[in-house]
Amino acid sequence: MFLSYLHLTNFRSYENLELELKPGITSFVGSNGEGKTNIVEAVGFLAYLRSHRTASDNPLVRLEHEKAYIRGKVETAGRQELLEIEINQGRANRARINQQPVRSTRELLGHLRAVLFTPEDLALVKGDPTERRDFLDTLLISRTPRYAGVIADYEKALKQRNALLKNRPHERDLAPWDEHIARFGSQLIAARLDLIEDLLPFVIQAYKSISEGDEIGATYKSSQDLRSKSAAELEREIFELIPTLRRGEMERGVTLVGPHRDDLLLTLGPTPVKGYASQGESWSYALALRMGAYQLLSAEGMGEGSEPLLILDDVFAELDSVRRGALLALIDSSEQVLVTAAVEADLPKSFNDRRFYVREGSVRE
Amino acid sequence: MYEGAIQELIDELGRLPGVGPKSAQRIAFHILQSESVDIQRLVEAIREVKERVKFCEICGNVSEDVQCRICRDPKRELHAICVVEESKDVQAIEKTREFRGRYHVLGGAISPIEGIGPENLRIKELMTRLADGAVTEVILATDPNLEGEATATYLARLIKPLGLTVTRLASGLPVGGDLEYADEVTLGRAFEGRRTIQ
Repeated sequence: MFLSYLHLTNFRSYENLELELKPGITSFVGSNGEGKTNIVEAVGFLAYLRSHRTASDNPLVRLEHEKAYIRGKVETAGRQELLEIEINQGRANRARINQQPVRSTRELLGHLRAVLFTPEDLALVKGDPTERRDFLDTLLISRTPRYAGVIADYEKALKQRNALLKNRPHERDLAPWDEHIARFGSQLIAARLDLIEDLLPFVIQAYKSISEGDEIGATYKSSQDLRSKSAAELEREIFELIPTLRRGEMERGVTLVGPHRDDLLLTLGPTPVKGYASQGESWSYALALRMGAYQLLSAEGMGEGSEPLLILDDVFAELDSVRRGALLALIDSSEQVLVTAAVEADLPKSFNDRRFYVREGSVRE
Repeated sequence: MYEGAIQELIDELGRLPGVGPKSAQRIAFHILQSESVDIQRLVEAIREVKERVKFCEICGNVSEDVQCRICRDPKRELHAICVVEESKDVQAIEKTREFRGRYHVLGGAISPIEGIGPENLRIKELMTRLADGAVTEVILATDPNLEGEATATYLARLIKPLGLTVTRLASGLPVGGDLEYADEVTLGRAFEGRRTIQ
């Protein structure tokens, strides 16, 4: 698939930006702070309904304005869809598909699929478990948009339950929230397990294309060593486990079992990556995770013309020639690639791209 | 900012649900330009609603008397009670004319974040009503969201030991709609709750 048109209104630094886009490689070159990342951030928002740079939507709206708009036309195998999002300060966002309002912005998920590479990706390997959970969940939503609802319900139930735990609740008051945690938590864990099983071969393959040597591995680590695989069994297991954790949960006022405490354990040969791998190995690993994600979504698409967008935000400057080479191979297999770079020298010499220059909020070819 | 009275009115209106700062300003100026008699009627209506409207001592629904019209109606069946969150839910169900029993209005749903626990809802009153033996079925019609479901689960655990039939409203496809437009959660629920055709 590819984005043929992007229109931003009061989004970040852009009061009004209209871009006609084409399949193939499009680069945005500009110094830091000129607004090139804002463009790919907007495309990412259309795909994920969230920014890769900020957890809150407020910074996305241009200063002294109440709402921002992102409009994008997506072409998938000859079909065209117009996706629109209105980002509101302090109110719920709204969305339209082909000019029809949708009940929930979540209905937009899955209409534009994209995989984003950023310099912060190193945190996938070196950062806290939350980075890896986010990676899994974002990919899960791209793959099966329904899970956006499960994740939202789980997070809300978790907040409610933790609020209750802080007030020394009666056993009877906790029971309904125990059930919610077990039901939504088990669905999310089971979906993550499925995802990892399908994703891993692609990640292993990608890593081999970047680096020789040890085989990599990734296993899901649940906080309470849950054994089950299916959602139904996991639900029972969590539900039976909850009473044994009561005392600790009451003391600390937090929920101690569930997908919010889990991690993806990455290994290189026999050793865990975190804390042991070199900077170079960590980069290769982070790259392999993103490349694997891209290839999984590609493989599960509806054939030719449904490959997700590939977005490379300022990553070439971070990579040596071997890792650049691996990315170039991926670029060749994509229908549309959006690239940002601070200086032209960061872009590979062989690049056959359409180049835009971003300066002081204007974008010129 | 406006001076004095008009700004005070805008601030007060802005506190109402669903009224933003711009709407508040529009309503305030509309009031300012309206005929005095019209505004007097509005003022009276607001005063009277606080003075005359009470909550039914049996079900908690809004009422002009000690007991509401539904609880006073001798034709309503005594064996079934439908539990809802708010008075407006009673109106919604009444419009269907499907239910001939009586209601119980909880006054909200359990939500620990907002500090609303079972003790803040009219659950004790419900249990007292169930104790007299006339009721055989309790229909839980709380909202089909996280808090509504939690409230329904809580009540079911409380009521089932009394040996009463406890039912929950079905979730599913909207009538007259297209299957393909249903969201996946609703469609999934509809699948879960499918029925054999008699």
